[in-house]
Amino acid sequence: MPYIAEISRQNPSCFLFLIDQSGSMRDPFGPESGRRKADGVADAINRLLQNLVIKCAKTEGIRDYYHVGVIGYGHRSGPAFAGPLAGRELTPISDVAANPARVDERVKKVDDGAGGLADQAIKFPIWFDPVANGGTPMRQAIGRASTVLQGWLSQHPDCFPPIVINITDGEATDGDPSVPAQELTKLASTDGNVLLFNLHLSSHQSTPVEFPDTEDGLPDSYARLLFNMSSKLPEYMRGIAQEEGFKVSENTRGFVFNADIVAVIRFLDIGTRPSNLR
Amino acid sequence: MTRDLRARTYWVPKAGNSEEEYEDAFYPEHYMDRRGHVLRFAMADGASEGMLSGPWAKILARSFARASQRPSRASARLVVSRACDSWEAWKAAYLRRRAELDRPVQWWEEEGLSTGPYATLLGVAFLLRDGSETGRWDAVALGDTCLFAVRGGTVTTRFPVGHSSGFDSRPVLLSGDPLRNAMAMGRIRDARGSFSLGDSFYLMTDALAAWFLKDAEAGGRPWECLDGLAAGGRFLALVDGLRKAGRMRNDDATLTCIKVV
Repeated sequence: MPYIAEISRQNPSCFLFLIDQSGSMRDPFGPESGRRKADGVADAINRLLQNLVIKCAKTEGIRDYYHVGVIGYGHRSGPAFAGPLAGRELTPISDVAANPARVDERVKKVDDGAGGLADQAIKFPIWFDPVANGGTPMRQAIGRASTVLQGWLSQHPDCFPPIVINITDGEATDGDPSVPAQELTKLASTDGNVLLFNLHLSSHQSTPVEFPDTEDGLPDSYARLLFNMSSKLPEYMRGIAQEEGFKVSENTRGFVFNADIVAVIRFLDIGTRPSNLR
Repeated sequence: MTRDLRARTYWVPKAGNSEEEYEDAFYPEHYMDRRGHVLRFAMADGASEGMLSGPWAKILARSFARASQRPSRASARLVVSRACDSWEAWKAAYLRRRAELDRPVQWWEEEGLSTGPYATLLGVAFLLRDGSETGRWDAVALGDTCLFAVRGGTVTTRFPVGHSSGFDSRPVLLSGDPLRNAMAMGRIRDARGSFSLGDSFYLMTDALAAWFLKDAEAGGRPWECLDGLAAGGRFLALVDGLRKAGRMRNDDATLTCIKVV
């Protein structure tokens, strides 16, 4: 099963994000003192959604190449979108684009054309603010993801396989999450199995790790657990990752430790993407 | 006796897309059967991941067609530079129009409008000499829009992609923003050759070109079904059949057939 199905408005694929909103996310995140893991989660999910929307954007609007869901787990578990999208398990990407909670303005450094950098104001949509409350029912969240995707796959049996991205510190409080993770990645379309990628946000002061092919060198048991739960990158994604400068092998997994997982969005193939587009 | 060129272009959008969403471009935009000393043809393929790639592809193709220099790597840089100037003017007018229509730029458009659109460019100029049986051609290319020449049942030119394995979804392309073109400018390639009575030339965007090369590599004569098209409806049927048979990627497809008569 080769992961080659065309992603189009007629045959959309699906992204499901699982975000850890438990009390432990109040702890500091990585080497940056003063930043909490919950801030890292909010930043990661907002940037993932922003990049996914931009990938599907044309001037006439957003093309619904993807349907998207976000499941939060912590004090409460379930669909996590607020506002008009509240309660929806999956919604077209154009709805996500049209309904951020707010749009902030940030400053981005851009090439000034004279060898220097200039400040440019850009709009930055926010769907999720940091939340840290309650336990970490990761097993339950992954089980819920399976239920949602079973429904999706029954309606889209030939789609490019859904991608699940779990953003967490790995400290599940409802048992071993690798069991439901195996069940989740057994689900499949005719084009391949569901892919589960993990972004591990940790208080551990270790070097960030992106898309490793071995658990050797990972700093703790949580990182190793999440690495082993993560799907191997399909061949076509490995090819793109390699072009993007990542060192990959057949054992490279969709796992990132205290680093940026937004590169995953660039690994998606919805048509020609200039290799010199950065 | 002086040779003439007879050219016809066919195009079809990606299956599932409307004609308004077609992002290839070609020049000339109408059927051509005329004499001239220098006849220029261009084709460009706007990147799917990019904002306003279709209009940018058109500007690039026209910029090549309007240039007077013989195609070369050096003159192609001038063509691109002029196209970037035209793009700036086009984009400013587009944004004014949006403002007048009370359609402000949305947050998801900002990045694409800032990074600029991207497209391939293939340009070829045929020089016909008065009273001569033969002529010469010069071509430039950046990206994977291809020129194939066929003489006596053999493909004599494959430019700039020489083998069907040479296509991927991540080519280096030309941006409307000149600041982003340093790498692309260095990768512009050129080619040249001669032509005489009976020669055929085909310009085509990547999905069709990949099929053409693969078929030729397998011993086929793909140009024969292109020569027999004659009407747009037949091109649509050909592309539709190839897509359904899994022999051609679903993408915008454009073909210009040029015959030396």
